[in-house]
Amino acid sequence: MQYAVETQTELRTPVEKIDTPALVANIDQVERNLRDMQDFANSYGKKLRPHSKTHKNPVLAKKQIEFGAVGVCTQKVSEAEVLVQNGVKNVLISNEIIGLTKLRKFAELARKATMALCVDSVEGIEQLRQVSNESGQELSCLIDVDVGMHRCGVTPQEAAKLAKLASSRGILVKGIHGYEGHVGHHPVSEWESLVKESMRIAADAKGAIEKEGITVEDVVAGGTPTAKITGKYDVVTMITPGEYIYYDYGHVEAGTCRMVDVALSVYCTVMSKPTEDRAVIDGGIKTFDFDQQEFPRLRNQEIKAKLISFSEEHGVLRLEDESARSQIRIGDKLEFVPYHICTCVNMHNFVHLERNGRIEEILPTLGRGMVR
Amino acid sequence: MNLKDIETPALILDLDLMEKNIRKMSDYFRPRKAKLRPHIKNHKTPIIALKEIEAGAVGVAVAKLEEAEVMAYSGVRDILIMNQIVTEQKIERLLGLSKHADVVVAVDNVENVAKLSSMAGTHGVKLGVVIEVDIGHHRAGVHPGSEALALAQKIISAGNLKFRGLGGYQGHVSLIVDPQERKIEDAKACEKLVSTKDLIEEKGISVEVVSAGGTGTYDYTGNYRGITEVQAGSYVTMDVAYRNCGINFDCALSILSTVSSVPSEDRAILDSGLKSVSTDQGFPEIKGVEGIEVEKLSAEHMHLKLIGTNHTCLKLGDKVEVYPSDTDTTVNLHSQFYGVRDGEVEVVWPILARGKSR
Repeated sequence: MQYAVETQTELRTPVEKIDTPALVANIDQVERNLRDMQDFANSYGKKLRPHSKTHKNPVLAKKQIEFGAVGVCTQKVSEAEVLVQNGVKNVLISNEIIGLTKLRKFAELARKATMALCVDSVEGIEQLRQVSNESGQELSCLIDVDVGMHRCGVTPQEAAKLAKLASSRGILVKGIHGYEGHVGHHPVSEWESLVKESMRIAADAKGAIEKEGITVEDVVAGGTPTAKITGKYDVVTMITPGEYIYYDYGHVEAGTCRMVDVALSVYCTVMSKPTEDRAVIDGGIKTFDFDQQEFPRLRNQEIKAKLISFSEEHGVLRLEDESARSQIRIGDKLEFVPYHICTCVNMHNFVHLERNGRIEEILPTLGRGMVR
Repeated sequence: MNLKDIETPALILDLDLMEKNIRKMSDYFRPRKAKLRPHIKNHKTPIIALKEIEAGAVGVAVAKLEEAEVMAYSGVRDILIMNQIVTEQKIERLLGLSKHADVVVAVDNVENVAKLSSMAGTHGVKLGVVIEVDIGHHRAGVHPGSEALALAQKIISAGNLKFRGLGGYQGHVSLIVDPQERKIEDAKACEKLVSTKDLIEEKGISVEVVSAGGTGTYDYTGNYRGITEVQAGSYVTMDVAYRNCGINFDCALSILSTVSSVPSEDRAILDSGLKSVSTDQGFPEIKGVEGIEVEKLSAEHMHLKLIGTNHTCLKLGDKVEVYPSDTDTTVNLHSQFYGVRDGEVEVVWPILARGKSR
């Protein structure tokens, strides 16, 4: 009902009239970003499996699949449920799932869609086996390999042992997952060499598993920062970038994209201008998140105004020159580019899709809050 | 259902502790002139607001129009929107809402006052307003003193507004760790508000409401001469950041999490990351297990370091509870509370104002 009300009042509204704060994605730019990554994957003969964590939205997942993706990733079973219930047919949970309740839900999903998940422990495999036996289905997994991120994942030797165990328990080992998520946090100059080291570890793991006589169909890696580096390695068969659908200011800063490539903006309204050089907008931590301790940036970089502090529902802008001080007035709508897209999208119930300056579609972010 | 059977990550509210916090706060305000007007930004949940009102609160404070709508349509009558509503689109909605609840909005600008008044006139509504005064936080708000007085006069002459009083928020004070320093800074902030009230009343204008304060200063602000309302919100669920300032309420809220990976003997991963627990006031704390350090969080993972010699304290599949540093921003990530008493789930409450940021 809430969705109906929103669409009724805001569909076809010119974007500058939208009520704020609002997440607004430019659909033409979204499509350019999807095309660009798909073209990259195609040109290197790789499969693209976008991570849906960024948009948390079945409509956009299906759009990615229309553009040529083989399916999508999620981190959580509850996110996967939302996608499958809304027609997505191929989901990799690129994460360890522990606990029989969750695994039973996973098995249920595997009746309706092509599903796989990551494992990195004996217990994880034994639980998966139990659920597989109960449901009489063959379930699929990837062995999660730590390629330098030091989050989850095992060494290549341990990966071989786990693959062997999984196979002996009737679990289909589809390959390995070797997410090089640490690389993006290093200086760009180090990315090439760090990816090289990560893919060496992935290749070792693949070799060790194949020595056990188990086919490694897929080697899955590649987040948005390094997808176009990782995706060039022969060993890699599938890349899983997520943020590329929208990008964000963090990527502009790192040089992974240009400002014009950022497809999503957050519109806010100036609601107070207490002094000549201070304006206050109606978006703060509950609109943008602040997990990287970095503020969003104005889309129009010619306006000399900078966010300098956040409360939950306020953002304080410092107006840095005469023109900003006279231009920015109460009631003005300002367009901001988030610094970290994934956590920002997760704050909102809806994303507004805009084309040629008008709101064309309003999509509920169905995966929001699906943390289980 | 037992606590340990809840699927994770899950927002757990200890009902006994929450009720104790509500009792304690209402006991504090009962004998005092100042009353409690809890800010619902913390829980965003009508049933909790109604419990606070039942215990003696005069109404609620909210930051957003949509939050006010959720509260009003769930039965809360008295609502202070402690924020500016400036666009015509929102003012329309506000005026509509004002026909169904006692809504007061904060203003800090002459043109906004003129617009509110003319639109209120069109709607045949007399809209209540308070002036937001900047009492040192340097966010929104007019300067104390003559600027506030001038705006009060504009409000009265505007025609369709009812001047109710003053509001301020000493957000720069609430998390000062040293209680003595916090008290001194709070007094400076309160004095700015109260001296402004005195100035306006000297001109024969009655200032009925003087609303300020938060969980960090509830007792200082609540005892300050001339303050009529305190807007404490976080006390109800309480968090690590306020506990570290010596604020004496119980942490009633935790995130139940599962150990999803133990990659090496000195590391473990929980299934609750940045999308389950906020970090804007620092990392969360692990409840009731010694020798665990939170190293970092990614979107859906919490990285733990197991320190000391007891590396076996966490096993794969173990469930642990995590105390957030900031409950306001953590609650906002979730769709529901699991209300637990004596280890059993008693109720599941939807967080109806979650994501209501307009």
